[in-house]
Amino acid sequence: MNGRRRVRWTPTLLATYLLAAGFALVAVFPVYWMLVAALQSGKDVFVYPPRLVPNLSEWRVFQQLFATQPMLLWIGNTVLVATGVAVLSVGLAIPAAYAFSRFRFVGGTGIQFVLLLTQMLPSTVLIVPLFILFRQAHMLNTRSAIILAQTALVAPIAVWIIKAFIDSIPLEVEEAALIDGCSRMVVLWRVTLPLALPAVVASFAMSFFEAWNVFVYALTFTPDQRLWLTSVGLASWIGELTTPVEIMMSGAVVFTLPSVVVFLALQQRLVGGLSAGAIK
Amino acid sequence: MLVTPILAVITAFVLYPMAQGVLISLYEARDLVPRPEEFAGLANFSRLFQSETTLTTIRVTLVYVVVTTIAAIVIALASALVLNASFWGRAFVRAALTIPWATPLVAGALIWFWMFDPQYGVINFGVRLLGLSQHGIPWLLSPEWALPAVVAVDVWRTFPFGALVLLTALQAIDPDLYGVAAVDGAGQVAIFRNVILPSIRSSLALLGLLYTIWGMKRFDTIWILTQGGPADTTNVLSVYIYREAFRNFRVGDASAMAIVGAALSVLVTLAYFMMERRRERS
Repeated sequence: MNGRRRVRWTPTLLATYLLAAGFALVAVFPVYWMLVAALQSGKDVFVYPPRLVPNLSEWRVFQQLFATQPMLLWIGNTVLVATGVAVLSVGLAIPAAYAFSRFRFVGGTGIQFVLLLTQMLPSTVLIVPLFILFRQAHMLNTRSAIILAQTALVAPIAVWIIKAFIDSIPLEVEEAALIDGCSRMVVLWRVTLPLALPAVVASFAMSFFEAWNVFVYALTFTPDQRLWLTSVGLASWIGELTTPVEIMMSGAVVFTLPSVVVFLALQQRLVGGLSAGAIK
Repeated sequence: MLVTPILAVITAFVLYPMAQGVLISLYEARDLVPRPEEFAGLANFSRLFQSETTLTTIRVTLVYVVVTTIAAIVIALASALVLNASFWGRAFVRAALTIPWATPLVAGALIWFWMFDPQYGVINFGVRLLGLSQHGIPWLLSPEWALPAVVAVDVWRTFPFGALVLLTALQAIDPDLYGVAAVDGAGQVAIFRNVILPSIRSSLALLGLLYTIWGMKRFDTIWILTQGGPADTTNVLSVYIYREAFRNFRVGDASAMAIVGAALSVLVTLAYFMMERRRERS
């Protein structure tokens, strides 16, 4: 509809717009400022007053970033770890979510409480024992160590997202297949899983970006620079004071972009899954 | 059984380390792995409650958790109420609120580190522009301002999640209820108290729990921005544990503090569930 409608500017509407604009600005400004700081020449970084808009002709900063920093290596490691965590988490979560949704069994409540417990403990609480564990298992400086430790923390959230979705699938759908003589596993694989696909995709994305974010485990378990994740690499710039600001910020842009794009696409389902999981 | 695999992974990488952590906290453990002759009993714990640094850590952690939780909930509620009105561009504002939440923690820390820069940071540019201070404020380097600064970063990152959760709850309210209230002649405040608040109470309680737990966990941002300094003013529990274990190599002390932290988190969660249960019954 293109017809112009006159907006009546009541004081309430005006206040709504002002407040909404204020909240949006607070939320977006730091990320906008990251773009401004990335897209500027090294000289402009220290001018006063600062430039308030990005200088698009400085896009070569990104070329410099990849030329001077092991950014590709870090991103490669991060993608590998994040994919590992996502595949493992979803693989572990699907059967568990199905069981919690469809069966009542002895210890079920207890196990659900254990899942919740994993979300309550600060990672730093586990870090010393895990470090010892991985050292004994000769797994320090392996990406598998990060993947396994992180999966244990992420898989429970994937369980909640998928369980909340399976709860909403009517039982009759499965019963029809069971009457036709399919086994439970076949029903889960052929009937329930295809229906729950949106939740599986959402929990895969959630697990992937939880692992994209992982920091303290990576910082501790992989001192070897060749195995650094992007998070550890970017953080290392802060202490050393030799990396130019515009390079730091362009690195942050590259690290942020994939995450923001996917979150924007999936925000509704992620909010629903997280809160539903924690309530039940 | 269907839940065995996930349970095995959690046992190996959460429950077993947790138990191991309790064990280590009873040892001196200078060399990471506790040796029998290093058995110290509860000495690590008693030292914990006598040392100035650890008491500061506990105080800073409590302030950090309480302030971030309250601030995030208040701002989340305010923005959810605004977004609950229908206006052109609402979807855009919703999308804007997703961005801090989607920004990786380390990237966010890097951005704020630059924004807080005493000389060239945009925040001090604003401070000077408004004439609040001639020279600007040395945010992360100042004992008075470092804690408020890291709190602000945390609230920026976490309030949008609360806003989206509360918005979902607000939109689930039956529109007829507003109509009834209007017929009864209820004002805005009365509508908020009698219609809105009861409908979102469980979401608010849940956010209180999540924000508390997240606050207890927060490590990345503070580690990058201040490493717990200046003068321990931002030395929250997670940062303390990491610093003691991997910088000062006092693994026993670190583990004792970790147990205290874990116990606090579990207590908060149990309190939440007991309150919810009692409310369901009444």
